[in-house]
Amino acid sequence: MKYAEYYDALRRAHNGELPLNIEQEQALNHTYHQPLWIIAGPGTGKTHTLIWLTFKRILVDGIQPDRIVLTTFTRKAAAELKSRMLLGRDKLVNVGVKAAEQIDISQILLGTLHGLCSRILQEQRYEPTLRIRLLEDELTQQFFVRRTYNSLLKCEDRSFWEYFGFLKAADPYLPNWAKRAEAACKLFNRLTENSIDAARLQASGNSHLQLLADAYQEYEQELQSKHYTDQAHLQAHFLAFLKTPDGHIWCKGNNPQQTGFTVIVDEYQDTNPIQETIYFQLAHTSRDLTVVGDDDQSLYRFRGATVESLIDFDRACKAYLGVTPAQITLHNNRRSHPGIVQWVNRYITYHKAMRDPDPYIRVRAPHKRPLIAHSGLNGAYPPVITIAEQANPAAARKVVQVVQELIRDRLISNYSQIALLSHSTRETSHFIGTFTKALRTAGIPLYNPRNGQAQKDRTFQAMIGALIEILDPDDRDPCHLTRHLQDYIQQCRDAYQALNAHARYPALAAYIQASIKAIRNAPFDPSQSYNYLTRSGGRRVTLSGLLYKLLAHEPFVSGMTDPEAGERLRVLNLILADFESLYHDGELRLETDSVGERQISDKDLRDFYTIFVEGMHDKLNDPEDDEISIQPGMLNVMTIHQSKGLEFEVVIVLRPDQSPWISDTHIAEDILDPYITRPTKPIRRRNKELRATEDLVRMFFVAYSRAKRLLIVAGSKIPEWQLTLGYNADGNEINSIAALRNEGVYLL
Amino acid sequence: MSLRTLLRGWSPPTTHNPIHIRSYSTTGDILSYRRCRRAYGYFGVRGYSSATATQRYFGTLVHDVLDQVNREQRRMPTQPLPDRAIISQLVDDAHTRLLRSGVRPYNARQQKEQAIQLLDRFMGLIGPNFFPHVKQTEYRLERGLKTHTGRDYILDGVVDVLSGAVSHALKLPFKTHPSDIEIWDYKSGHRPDDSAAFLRDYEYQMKVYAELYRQQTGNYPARCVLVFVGELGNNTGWHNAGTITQRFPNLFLTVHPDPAEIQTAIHDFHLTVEAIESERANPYQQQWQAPDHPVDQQTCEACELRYSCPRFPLAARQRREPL
Repeated sequence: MKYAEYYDALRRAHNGELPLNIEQEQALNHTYHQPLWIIAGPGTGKTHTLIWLTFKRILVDGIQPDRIVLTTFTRKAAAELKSRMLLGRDKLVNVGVKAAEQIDISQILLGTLHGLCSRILQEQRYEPTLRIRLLEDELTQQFFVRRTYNSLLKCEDRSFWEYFGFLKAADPYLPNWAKRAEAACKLFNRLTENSIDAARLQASGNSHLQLLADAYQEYEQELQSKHYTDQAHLQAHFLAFLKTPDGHIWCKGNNPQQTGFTVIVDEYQDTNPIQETIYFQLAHTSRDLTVVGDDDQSLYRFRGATVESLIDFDRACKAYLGVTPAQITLHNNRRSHPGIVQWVNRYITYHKAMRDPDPYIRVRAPHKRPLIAHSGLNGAYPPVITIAEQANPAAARKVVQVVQELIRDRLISNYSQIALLSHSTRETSHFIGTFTKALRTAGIPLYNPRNGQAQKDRTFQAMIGALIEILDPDDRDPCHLTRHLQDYIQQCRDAYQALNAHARYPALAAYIQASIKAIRNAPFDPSQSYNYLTRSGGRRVTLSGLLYKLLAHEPFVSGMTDPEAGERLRVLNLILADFESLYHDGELRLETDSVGERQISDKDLRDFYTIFVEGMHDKLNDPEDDEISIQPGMLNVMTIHQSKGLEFEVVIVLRPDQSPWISDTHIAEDILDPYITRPTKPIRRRNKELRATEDLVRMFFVAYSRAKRLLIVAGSKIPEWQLTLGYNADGNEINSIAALRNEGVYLL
Repeated sequence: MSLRTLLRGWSPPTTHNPIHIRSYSTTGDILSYRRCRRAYGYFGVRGYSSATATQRYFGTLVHDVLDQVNREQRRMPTQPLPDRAIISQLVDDAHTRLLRSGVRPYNARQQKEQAIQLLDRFMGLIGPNFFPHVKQTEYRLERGLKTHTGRDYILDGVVDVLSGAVSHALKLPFKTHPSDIEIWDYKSGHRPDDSAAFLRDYEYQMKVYAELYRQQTGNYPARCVLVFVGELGNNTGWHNAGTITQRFPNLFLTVHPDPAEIQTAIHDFHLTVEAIESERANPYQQQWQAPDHPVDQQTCEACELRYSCPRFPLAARQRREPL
């Protein structure tokens, strides 16, 4: 198909109008003698461009679908991309493009990079990863570290934890084992993603780095000997595969005319170093690499992302391919009211944290241009409103009033057209609890399953308490549990007892008592190494099996039909499954007590308490889960991270009184920097304080740019909003009501 | 000032449902939903983890070895098929990988021995006419379709083997041609009775694969063949067959693409997709209720939600039972 014919078809498929602006057209016109670097601001039709660019590559440039790698950041985004590719093909077919009928979208290697690595390694039967078990998420990886007793767990050296930022000087206690496992995984992943050679850390002469190197090597040996991989190592396996002879053949293609892959990467600002290497390796022969992203929306530094991948893409192309990319900036915003566009432009352009006098330091991608409003929304109203009160309760009352008015006056038709965004969704007064409490009290339906309160929910605690009651009716302390854990276990026991007060749930109580009795009288053969707890019929009892039995009883069974409670129970169920996958499939072993009765073995009880119960607490409230779903008919509360890629008619940003937070991530970046050898490492980098500030600014840029018609910023202590409101064009801080008014903001 | 007064020129937004084009597979979705809406909803949609999910040790073991043999044959086509000793080694290797991947077999030695026997017989009876014709293994079929109401969805599936004219080479008792393209699917067990629901499900799956293949390539495959490897454990059948495959009873189930039957199957597929989508659109509290129709006992016994399920006759009793 000729280029002009393709454009003609696009016009016909869109009521006679070409659905591309000049920059998008330039992207499609690109000839691929050099890589393409697309910087796309919020609402500028990034996915739209990718869709038509991919079809152009197939129909005009003649690329076979199975030679295209098209990746994005989350499974949800990948599913949407695939949906839109299918609809796009239909559009072309409907206007008579015969060749489009032959396009098999399923042949495109479309997905997240993790997903594709897994799929390709399986399809190519790469020997080291055949039937390998994947530690799919952070919690499972932490369970693995604990299961294998990694030496970092035993590190009692306070200075080690302080060195890596996991402990502050004022903290009275060392991190517990759960926190140590979490820290270990963060460090291990960083080493893997940056391909850091443990031998170099060993040779550093720094005892902390040497300890880390030992622990990392131990971890890798455990992964190998037990045939596991984590997500970072899965990518390392894939990179290793690409370097094998089979990998070379696969990459280049079987056909002599083929010269490698066409690689198109969405959300490139959240790419980590090993992913960057993979993309360049895939495109090594073809040099056919298109990356799309927005550095201003980079949020995942804490997961290893390096925004420099996008900002310094030109340097990366030089280093890996010896060429300079063509750069295109998409800046026509089709999402937001012009006033909101103006607000986000001002915020990011004039923010002092986003500029650096050092010419070797890029905080933003070069040649960025302000967004231009093209949404068609043009109501003559102030689209940016602030609610700035002396204290949060007063601000919360106004937020309630606004939400009620929006619904009552039919300015919106559904609560789910409003999103409540904040850096944390925890419902305590320290975070957004004051606001959510006011909204709930006013009868506004909120959906906030990861609200930081799950572990305090009495029904939820009662569920854990009921499980504990069966497993440990005599309240043993199998391994001198920490005070914190003992307290939590007691709370759960109390919650169960309270639930059952006045015999409200006799069936549940009877089941639990019968189960306790069944354990005490269970068959036991001392000659066997292990005696497993079995049900009648001989089937082994598992923790999940017990959980499902409890879920069949009231009041738990009703919880499964409630959106928030149901989501928590689901997560509980999944965490238990993760735990079981590493701990004997959750099967329970018996031993005899001092009077000859059976009881659950100390070992199993200890693992249950210290690994599962402890680990569950954090994961239940994981606010960084990017695969969030929108609940219709409810006001959805989410973190700014979760809102990425979404848009809402009304966005209420809560608690703008934020300061930059130097995390263990920033500290690890600095510590490990000398051991990173990748060719695209920035020549110079800013200090961690400035990097933390950049992160905060980007986060609020994402929050503000989600709004279509109305953006409301609500909180108290306005002088502390300085970083999240930014500066005006004259470089003056906006941290007062007068300054806000000057920017055209309406104060409610 | 009220918000309404403040927001001059505000046009109320129209509600638009985001486009969700979901993928549906025959076994994972359609048949699963038809068996039990509740189990499908909780395990397949909401993502609850199933503690008693069948660990298909035996099926995976047989499948992995056949896959390994096929790879070796493609790499070195002139190499003879593996003898019993090599098969034994391949089974051991596959077994080790499965153990390491967390599959816990019951009575592994017996199952391994059985797998070795079946695979050895497969190599002897079918192998020489089978492996040279294999074109692709784990062949992914995926296609965007529309239901009768115009709803878009993706129908996907993975067939074990896409092959050339294996039936022709095996001289199976129906009309064949050397240029035939066939879809083959391994089943490690015995062929179910003709009246069994599973057999109908297998046939249904093959019809859907045939349609997917047609959508992808423009033509139906010549046929879809299910090979019930477990049947090769039948010693009498084995001795009676000698070297003549077609004499082996119940070894194959062949589905010849009949456009009318396939269209009926696809129409049923569309209806089920619509039913699932409509269920998803219900408020959370009303979603994934127990079905109105009876559910077979095997499905219920494998479901952890049975203790609170109105469709399971023994729910109350089992719920009361300890542990």
